[in-house]
Amino acid sequence: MAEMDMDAFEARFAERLATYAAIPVAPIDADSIAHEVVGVRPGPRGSLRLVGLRVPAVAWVLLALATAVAAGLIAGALLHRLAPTPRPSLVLATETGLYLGEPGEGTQSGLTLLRDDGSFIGPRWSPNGTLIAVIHGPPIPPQPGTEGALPLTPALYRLVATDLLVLRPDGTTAFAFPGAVAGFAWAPIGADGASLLAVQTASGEIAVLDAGGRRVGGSGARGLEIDRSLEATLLPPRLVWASPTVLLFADARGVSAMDVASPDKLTTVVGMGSDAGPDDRVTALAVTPDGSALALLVAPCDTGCDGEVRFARLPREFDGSAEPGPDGRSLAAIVGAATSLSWQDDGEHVLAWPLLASSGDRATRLAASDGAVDTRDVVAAWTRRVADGSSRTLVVTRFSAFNDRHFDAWLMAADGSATRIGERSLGADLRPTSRAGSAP
Amino acid sequence: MVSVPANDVGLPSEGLVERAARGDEAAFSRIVRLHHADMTRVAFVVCGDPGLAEEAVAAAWPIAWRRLSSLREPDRLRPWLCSVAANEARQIIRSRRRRAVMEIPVPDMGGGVMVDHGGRAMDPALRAADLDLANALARLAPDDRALLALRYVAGLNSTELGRALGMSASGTRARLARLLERLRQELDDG
Repeated sequence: MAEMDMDAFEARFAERLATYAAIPVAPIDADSIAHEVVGVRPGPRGSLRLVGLRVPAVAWVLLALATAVAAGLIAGALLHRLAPTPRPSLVLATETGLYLGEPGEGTQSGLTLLRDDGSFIGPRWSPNGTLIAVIHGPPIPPQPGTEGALPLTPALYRLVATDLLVLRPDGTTAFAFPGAVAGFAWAPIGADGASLLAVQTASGEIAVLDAGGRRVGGSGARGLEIDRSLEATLLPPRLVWASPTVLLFADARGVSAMDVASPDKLTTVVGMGSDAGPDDRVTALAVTPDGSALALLVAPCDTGCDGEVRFARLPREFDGSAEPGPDGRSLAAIVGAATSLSWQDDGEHVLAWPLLASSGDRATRLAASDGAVDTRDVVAAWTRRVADGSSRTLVVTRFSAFNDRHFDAWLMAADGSATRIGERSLGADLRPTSRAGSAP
Repeated sequence: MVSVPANDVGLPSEGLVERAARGDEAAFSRIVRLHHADMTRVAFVVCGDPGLAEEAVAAAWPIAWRRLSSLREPDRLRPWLCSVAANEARQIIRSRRRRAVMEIPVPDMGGGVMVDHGGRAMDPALRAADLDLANALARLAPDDRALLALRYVAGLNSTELGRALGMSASGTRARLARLLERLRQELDDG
C-alpha cells in the first residue's frame, strides 16, 4: 500500500516539478552562441567550407589580412576626417598610477601612464571632457607574489585618501582639494561652459568648487555616517546634481537638495519613510538625464546588504519652501551586490547591478554574456555613452582571497561582452560625449 | 510508472552530433537552438534562480562543445547536455554558497505585479503551492536537486543518472527513493 502511495506521489511530484521548471526561457541567438563557443576551439580541420568548396586556412588568413588592411585604411580616412586630433577617452586608476588612452584588449594595454605618484581612486571626466577629478592617496605597497607574476595586494591594506586632484589630460594638476575625500560629483555644464564640482569629505561635509577650484558653496555634515572603507570609496558618491546649480545629497533624513545660489535653504526631496529600519540609509543616487526624476538605493549598510531601488519625481523648485517629499516609489528589491545606480539614456531604465529596473515597475536581471564578469563580484557599474552613440558599462569587480584582495575594471558592451581594461584597478571612466552630467 | 520527458526533439540529433563534433558550427548552432531551453529549465531546478540558470547554461555550452566528440551515443544528446547544465548549475550554487552572498529573486520584490520565479503573472493560489515546492527544493543539497531535475525534467533513467552523478544505477535509485520520501513528508502531498 505504501509502495502504491509512493508511486502516486512520484507521479504527482514529477508533474509538479515539470510545471515548476517550465520557466519562460528568453529567445536566444543560437548562431551567436555557437559562433562564440566554436571560436574558442576551432574545428579539427585546418580549412573551412565556402559554398561547398574547401578553402585552405592560409587563404582565409590572407583574405582576412587583406580585408583588415582595406578596412583599416577606409576607417582611418573616415576617422581622420571626423576627428583629426583624436583625444584619449579612457582614464584608468590603479593602485600605483593613473593611465590615459583607448580601451584595448588587455589590462592597461596601450594606455599611457599619466601619473605614478601614488594610488588613484574613482576617476571621473568633467562633463565637457577637459578635466579629470580623481581621489588620490599614497601608493599601496605591493607584497611579493609568485615569481614573474603580478605582485599581490595585501589583503588588509587600508586605502588612505589624502586629497582630490583635478587634472588636465596631460597629467598636470589644475587644482587640488586637500583632505580625506570620500566622494565627489561633477555638475552638468553650466551657462559658462564649465561645471561645478561637489566634494564630500570623510566627515560628511560638502564643498562646492568652481572650475578654478574656488569654494563657492557647501554644507555642513548632516548626520550622514561616511564609510571610510576602500570598497565604499570606490562606490559612486551619495552626491548627484539635479541641474548645473542644484546638488542632491543623501543625509539622515533621506535626500536633500541645495541650490548653490542659496545654500542655507535645504529642501528634503525624498524622505526615508515611516517603515524605514533603524539602519536604513540612502546608499546611492542617480538623476534621470532630463533632471526630472531620481532613483535612490536604500539599504541598511553601504555594501553587501539587501536593499531597494526607489523612484521619485523631483520638485521644480529647490528653494526650501517645498514640503518634505514622498518616500519614493519602490521599483525593485535588490541583492547585496548592488551598490551603484546609473540611468540609461532612455530615462526609463536605471542600472542597479545586477538589475535593470524601470520606472514602469519591471526589473530585468543582467549578466555578462561571456561569463567573464561574475555578477556576484561586481562592486559598481555605470553606463557611459561613447563616441559612436552606443553605450558602454564600466564595471568594477572585487577579487578576494585569503592573502590577496584587489579590484579590476571592465568595459562591457551592450551585448554583455566584457573586456578587462585594468587589473588591480581602482576605477575607470570614459570621456563623456553628447550628454553631459550623467556621471554617477 | 512515472512518465518522464522523452528524448525526442523531433529532429535527427544523431547527424547533428557527428557534424558538430567534426567542427560544423551550423550543426552546433542547431543543437544550441534545440536544447538551450531544456538545459535552462534543468539548471533552474538546481539553482532556483532564472538568472543563475542562464549563467549555468552559458557556462555549459563551451564544455559541451569541447566534449562533444566523447558522446558515444548521439541519440542521448539531450540527457547528456542536461547533465552538463546540471553540473554547471551545481558548481555555480556551490560557489555562491562559498561567497555567502544571498540573492533575492527579482519577482520576490514587494509591491508590483505578482509574478512567479520565471517572471510570469501568476494566480495567487498556484503561487502558494509553487512556493512550497520551491522551499522544499531549497532545503535540499544541490546534488539532490540535480538528481531530481535530471530525472523528472530531463528524463534520465537510473543508468544515465548514475553516469551523470558518478554513482551506480542502484545507488541512484536508492537515493531517489529516499529523496521522494522526504519530499512526500515535507510537501504533505495527499
